[in-house]
Amino acid sequence: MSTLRADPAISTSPNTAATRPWWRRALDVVDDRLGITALTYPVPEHANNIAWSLGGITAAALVLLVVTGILLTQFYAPVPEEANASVRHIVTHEWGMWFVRGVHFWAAQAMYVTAALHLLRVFLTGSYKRPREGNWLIGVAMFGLVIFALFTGTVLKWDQEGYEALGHNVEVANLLGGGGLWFSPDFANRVSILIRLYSAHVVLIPGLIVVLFTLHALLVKRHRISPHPSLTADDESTDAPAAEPVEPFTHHLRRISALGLALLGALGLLAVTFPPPVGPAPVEGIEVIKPMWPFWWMFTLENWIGLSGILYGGGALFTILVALPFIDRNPHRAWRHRRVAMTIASAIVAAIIVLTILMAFTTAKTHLGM
Amino acid sequence: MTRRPDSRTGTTVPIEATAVRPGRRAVLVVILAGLFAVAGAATASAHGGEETTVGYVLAQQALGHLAHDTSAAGIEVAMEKVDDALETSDNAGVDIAKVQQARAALEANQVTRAQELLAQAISAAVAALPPATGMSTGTRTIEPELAGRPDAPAPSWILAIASLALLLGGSYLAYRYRPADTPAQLRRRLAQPADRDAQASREETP
Repeated sequence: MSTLRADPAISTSPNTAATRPWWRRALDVVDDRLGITALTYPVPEHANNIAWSLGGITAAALVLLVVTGILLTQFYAPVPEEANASVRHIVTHEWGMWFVRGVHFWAAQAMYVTAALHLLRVFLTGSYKRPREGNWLIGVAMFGLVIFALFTGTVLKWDQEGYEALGHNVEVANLLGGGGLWFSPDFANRVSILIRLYSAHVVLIPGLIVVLFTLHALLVKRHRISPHPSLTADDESTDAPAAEPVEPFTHHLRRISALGLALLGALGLLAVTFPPPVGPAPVEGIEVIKPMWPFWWMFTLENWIGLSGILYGGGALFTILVALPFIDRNPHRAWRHRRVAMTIASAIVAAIIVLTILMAFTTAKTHLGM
Repeated sequence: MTRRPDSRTGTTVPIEATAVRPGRRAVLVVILAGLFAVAGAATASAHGGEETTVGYVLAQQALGHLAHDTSAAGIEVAMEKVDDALETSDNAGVDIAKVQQARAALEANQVTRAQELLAQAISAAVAALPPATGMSTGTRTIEPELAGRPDAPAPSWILAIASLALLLGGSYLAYRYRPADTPAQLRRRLAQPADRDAQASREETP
């Protein structure tokens, strides 16, 4: 029988109603109307581990990005003639906004890292297997959107780094023919592509992430928290062992909130210590800047085989991620019983790390228009 | 017919029944088709480009190089762009005399002076540019890289202390709200007979 560790903050016993403080009774009134206590459903204890909280930390980073992003949009001018100057104005003239921008910059990278680690954890514990294949695909789609958000955010600075990133993307879109039409300046030739990417960055991408996150969370609730393979004798089981203690889901939310506070503090320290600079306004036809580090592994491939390296590298990674639950039919979830999957995944992760390190020791090279 | 045990149902099933199913085959076909399409598009569409011959853009490129690299290598590349700007016939709105002065300044390693002269040389050209559309940069002036933090140190310290407090406070709360058991403790606990029996009885319950 599972043991539910009660949440003392939430008690609906009528016997204690008279002795409850006024604010708890006020909360009861709210709860009667909004059903907040529905969130106290039980989840297995291992869900509160850091590894199982990575998705929640990613969501916390998203919240920070939305809040800081809303503040930044108040002062940003998304037209090519003004964009770079408006970012400079944000840094130098709007009180405290350099800090907000710094937190936004570091939160974007934190979200990329935690989303990648979350994907890795889900892979290592076999949590993408039946019946959670659909939720894995939603997670992969969200990871793609996070990368797209990183890319569009880089372009919005409208400095040389952002413009070169955009140039690469347009060239890759050209390689895709009609598939890359949206990225082509010809798609809407009376409008700057910066404006379209701005709309994607502040509306389309976060909107899609929120919709997919809602589906993701509903499916986690529907399928329950995936089992920890080392806690069950049968590592093919789709659920946590019945004997594992459970806690209210609100405990999970409480811990994620605490981790989110710690994340905000860490990002604030990074923003103060390593504030992101604003580069010179862009010039067409030159390549002098390396891209942001999450893209380095693809750019090493580009150095080797040309622009199509970005397409092949990124395409191969996402093809594998999408196909994973359909190709890997091994019912075991413990990594010890999944030698083929573990070997391939280790090779891919090692390749990405090596390619990234190689780019760290490489200077920017010219690829566009070559 | 050869059969194999099915761990999910506890029975045996024919191997033929679990061989490549039509659904999986379709997924594989779609993936392979996608890969071939991408490979084909990449091979077919790869094309070369041409360097610009527009005078003011060449001068902007020289400014762009100097904004990122004022070493001898950066000056050399910028000088090549300046030479191209002097040679091109498409120099509408460009003050050639100032470009020549900028080249002389670069030769004398006077980078700041060269930047000023190049900016003045193309001021008429960039002022006449239409509103930027498509991939146009819309760049009028090229200022050096700006540090991401204003010079005043006081707010930075306040923000650093507040951030540190948040980091420590959040970490303390995360530690306080940690699960009662570590995974290793949970493993030991679930291995105890009482918990094993409970698990077994639960699993037997339909």
